[in-house]
Amino acid sequence: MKNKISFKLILAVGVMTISIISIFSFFMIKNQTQALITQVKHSANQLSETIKSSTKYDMLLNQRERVHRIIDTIGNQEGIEKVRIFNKEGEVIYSPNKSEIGSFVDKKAEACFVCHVADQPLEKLTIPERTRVFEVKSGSKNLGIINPIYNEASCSQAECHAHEVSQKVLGVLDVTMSLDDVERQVRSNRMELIFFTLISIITVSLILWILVKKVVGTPVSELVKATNIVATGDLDYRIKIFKKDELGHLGRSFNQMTQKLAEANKQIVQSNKLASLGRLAAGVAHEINNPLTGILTYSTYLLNHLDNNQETKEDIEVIVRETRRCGEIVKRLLEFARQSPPHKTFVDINNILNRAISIVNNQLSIRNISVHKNLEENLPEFKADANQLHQIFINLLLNAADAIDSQGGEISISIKLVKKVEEFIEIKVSDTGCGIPHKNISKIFDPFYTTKGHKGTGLGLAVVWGIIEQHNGTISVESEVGKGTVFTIHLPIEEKETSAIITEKNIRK
Amino acid sequence: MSFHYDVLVIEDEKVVIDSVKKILIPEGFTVDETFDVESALLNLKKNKYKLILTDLMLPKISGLKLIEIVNEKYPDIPIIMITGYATLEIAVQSLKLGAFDFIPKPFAFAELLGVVHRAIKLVEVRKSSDSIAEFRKQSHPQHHIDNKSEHYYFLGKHIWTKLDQNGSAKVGVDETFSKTIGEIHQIDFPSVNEIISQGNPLARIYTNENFMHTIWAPLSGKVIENNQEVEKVNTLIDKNSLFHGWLVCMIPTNLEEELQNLILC
Repeated sequence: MKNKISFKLILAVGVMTISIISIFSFFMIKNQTQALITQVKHSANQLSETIKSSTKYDMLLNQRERVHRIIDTIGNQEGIEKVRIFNKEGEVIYSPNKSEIGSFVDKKAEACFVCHVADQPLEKLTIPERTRVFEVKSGSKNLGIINPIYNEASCSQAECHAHEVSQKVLGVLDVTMSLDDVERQVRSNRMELIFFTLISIITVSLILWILVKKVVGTPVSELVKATNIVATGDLDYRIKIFKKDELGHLGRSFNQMTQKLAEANKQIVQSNKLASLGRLAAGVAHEINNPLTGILTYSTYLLNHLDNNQETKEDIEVIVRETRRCGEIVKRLLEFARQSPPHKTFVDINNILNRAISIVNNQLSIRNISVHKNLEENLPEFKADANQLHQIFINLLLNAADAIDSQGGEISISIKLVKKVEEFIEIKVSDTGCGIPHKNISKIFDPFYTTKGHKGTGLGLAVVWGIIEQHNGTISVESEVGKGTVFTIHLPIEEKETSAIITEKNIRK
Repeated sequence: MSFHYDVLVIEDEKVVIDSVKKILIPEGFTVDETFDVESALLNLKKNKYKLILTDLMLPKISGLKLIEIVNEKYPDIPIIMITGYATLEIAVQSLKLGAFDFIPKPFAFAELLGVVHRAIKLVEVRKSSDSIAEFRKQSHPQHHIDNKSEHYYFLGKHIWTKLDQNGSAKVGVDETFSKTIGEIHQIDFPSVNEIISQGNPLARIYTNENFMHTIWAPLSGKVIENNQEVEKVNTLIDKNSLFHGWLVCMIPTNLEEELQNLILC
């Protein structure tokens, strides 16, 4: 589980979602809190201005009772913690909490501190300077706003108790409001965000999991399965799921790779088969030649020293004849085993073909077989062993002729230059013969495989294959029973280190 | 103590030595045997031989090397190669190096006797008239060496081929060959249109003594004509072996390369 791609992806996306939403929420909540507090500040300021203006008249008239009543009414409203007015000396003059009246506030306390920071009270303050947020003992947050009550002409000129004109600030209105609402609002926002985060993580993970499973998981497990099957040696297995994405591409590449592997494998098997058979043939032939010599010399000696015993003579003649036959078989074996490395010179392929045709032409015309040539002119000369190519043509022509029955038929040969990735010569030899049955097509290049009984050695196509391999070429065969066979040979023009690949197209069909 | 033998057989396979002795001794030949070239060379120092019959593939020193040594030290002794490992190229090569002829395994009574008799006869003939070159000068003093089409290419010492202007090549044997085989009883010609490779049997000559002589194809190619006249007029091959005495006419398929294996005279 820990090592699965989907798990890793989901983990990564989860971490990413959490981080993004956390950063986003942090700033959002912060801004929201500030906006809320600002709003509270404004309303607190408004309230404090309202109190100031509504008490102003009563203060001028020095009707203290009325001021007390207003302060009490407002002070007892919900959300308002305290409403106090204290004079310049810090003595609380009005407050809904009657016990507080007459007590002094510490000038160093937070409400006063802003103005009295340098013992010399400031007189003009902005709203933010006048507000403060503080925590009370119960843990909840409060917002306090002070509002200086300035000396006005109507105050100083009042008859009651006339403040001095030089006094600029007469006292301070201190309103404290609870921030519980704001706190509650922020908390609920935070909860919503956390909930939203969780929901997004789950949704994204689920979508990712399904997507990964569908887009990556299934093709990958198919690939893994295919790899394991191929690893066990079944090179014919192909992946069937093909999408147009990278994994589909990988699948196609995998199929191509296994196909190439299968071809290379076939070629190696064929090469090894030929090579080991060659060695075996050479070894056997070498060893058998000496005893054969013994049999042949002694039997021919006997034959020459017999006294007209006709019956024995005939018997010994059988020994001689069959020993000679063994000798011929050994010779053929050795010819096959002796696949000498090609002696390459620049050759004119059309010329070689014409020479080969001239050699077999008599045999072909006797059997009513016509040869059609379709040769591209001015083909480039390329390096090859002329004798071996000659041998290929002779073998293929004779094979084609043997496939055609006594009614006669046609052999067509085309040679042309093909340019694909590299340039190569393409030779096609096709006949209107009996064709090769499906089940035999993989064996035709095997040494000693023959359908001609005693007439054939079963080495013709094995030799062709060997020669083409030594020229780094390829040979493929397509055949239909009753219609004919086409051998296609590709010979590279440039010499390079590739190897022959045998393809049997109609096996794959 | 020095002995005189007709034949020295060098062969690492006992059955082959036995076979050779089985055939040669009743014919009146004396045969000495060794298993390798080293002891053969010791024997050659010690004894006198008319002919060497050697396997091509021998332990340590090969038959080819032996040809060079014998050519140098005992140029009068003809060497017949027994080619077991049927590498025709090496057999053909041995002829160029100076072997008298080769005989591929498995060989029969008539083949072995044919080639051995011919070699022994050669030793005798040599005593009177000598080399091929000399013989050729005597027979055809009008020969112009610069005319290429008139050149004779020899496979070994006795099988020649002559290229005609029409692209065919005639094949025959020289007079020494004719002189050494004796009375011709029958000639087995190849069939027309048969394709024969260099070094493979092209024709077989059977003599009245029931010996068989193989004419190896000096070139690969297709047989187009046989000179049946030779068979009818036995003397033709004797007297006119280089002209009308040709045996087979063929179209060579791999002329340029194969000419390198032949000796130009």
